Amino acid sequence: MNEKNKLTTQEKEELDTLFEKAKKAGRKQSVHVSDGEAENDYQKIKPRLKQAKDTSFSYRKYAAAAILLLGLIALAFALTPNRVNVPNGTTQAVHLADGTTVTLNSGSSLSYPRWFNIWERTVSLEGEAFFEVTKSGQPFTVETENARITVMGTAFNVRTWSAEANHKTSVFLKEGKVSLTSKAKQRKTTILKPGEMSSVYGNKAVPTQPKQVDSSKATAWMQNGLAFDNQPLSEIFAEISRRYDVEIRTDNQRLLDETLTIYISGMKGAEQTLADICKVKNLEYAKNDDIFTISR
Amino acid sequence: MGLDEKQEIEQWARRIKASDEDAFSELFHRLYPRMVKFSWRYTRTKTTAKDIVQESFVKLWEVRSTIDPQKSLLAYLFQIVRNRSLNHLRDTPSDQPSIDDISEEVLKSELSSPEITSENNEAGKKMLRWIEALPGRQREAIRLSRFEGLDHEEIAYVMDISPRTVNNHIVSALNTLRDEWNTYKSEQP
Repeated sequence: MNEKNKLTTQEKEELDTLFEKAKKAGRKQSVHVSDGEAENDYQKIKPRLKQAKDTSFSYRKYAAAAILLLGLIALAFALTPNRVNVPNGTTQAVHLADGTTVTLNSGSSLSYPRWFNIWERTVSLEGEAFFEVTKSGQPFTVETENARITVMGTAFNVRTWSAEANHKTSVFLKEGKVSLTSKAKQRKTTILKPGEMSSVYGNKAVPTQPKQVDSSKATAWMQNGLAFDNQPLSEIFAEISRRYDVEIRTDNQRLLDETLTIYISGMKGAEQTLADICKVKNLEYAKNDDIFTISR
Repeated sequence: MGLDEKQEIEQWARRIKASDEDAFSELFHRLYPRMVKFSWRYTRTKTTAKDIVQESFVKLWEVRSTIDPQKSLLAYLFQIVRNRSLNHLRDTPSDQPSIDDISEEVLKSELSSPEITSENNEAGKKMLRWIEALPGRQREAIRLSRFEGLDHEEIAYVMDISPRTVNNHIVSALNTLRDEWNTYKSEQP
């Protein structure tokens, strides 16, 4: 700007006065909006405010929803346990993250959380399994439908077939120390010593008094053997069905309640095993493919 | 515009950002007449100006979460209304006055306005004529500065030019007006 063009203080003041006068003059020829008009026009746009999506914000909302969804998927994944189902006719060894080995008998299933060994060591069992638990600072827990077995580091067998009559969870301890607790309301705990076996029957609160049993019989299935101690034929036939993946039928339901104590070592095959049992119990069997029919 | 109003608008800005509809209503009732007048300067049709300003307020509500209370909400509103008014002029066939024709239109309306001649405000009337005769951008800048009370930064925001350019426009405008005034004074008996 040229120096001579600069406004003097007096000129500034004169212009200020002129602007005020111009404002006054301008007011007369501009449009006028009354308070009533303003209110009327506000009511016109008011319904649109409610439905006016905050568009700029919705991207953040979408992002938040996407993150939430991913989180839920991750959570669902984390909450879905690992599950091992062993088909009939075979056994399977499962190696867990802590070094523990679980050998599953035919037809059994084991499940454990994805965070196994992160802040707890808990597995669930249906069927029969032999556990060789690696020692660590965290206790190792086996959950069954009606009992809980807690150990530090040890080798033990758990048998829990919920389909069996008077469903029981039996624990045989090979070495180390385990505690067996009923899941009933007035729960009681039993501590087992090596070589001892104890069971929780159904909803009973107190596990049976631990008693010494033959280790080779209690874990006979680990060597492909079968050992039954005064057990009903229904359980024995169910075990053989699972082990050899065969079907065993009978027309005589009463004989299923008869009990038997028998130890069969090593893998003999379904037919030889059933032949031995029939001989002892004075029964007969007929074979048709993989279906055995038992009669007296 | 007093400091109190500035603070008041800043308060409204915060509340509107938080989706407070009452604050929005208060802001609307306070600024609606002023915005309609402002839009009318471009559109010269009251109903058009009202429509534009209503749409502008709805727009403001839609983008409320992006409001920065530190920045001038008033300038933001002026900007929306100005852009929409200019868009309207651009998109409307030529029977509507273009922005460059406005000064002529205003001159006519002022000369024919009985209120002004009846009030003895010769100087104010003259001043209006000189302002309307200014080049378009100078006229816009001086109006926003002197009639709407915006500071240079706000005007820069509304007109989408740099504050330096705003200053140039205003200085040029003031010089022209000063010269007109001096000429006018010398012609008086």
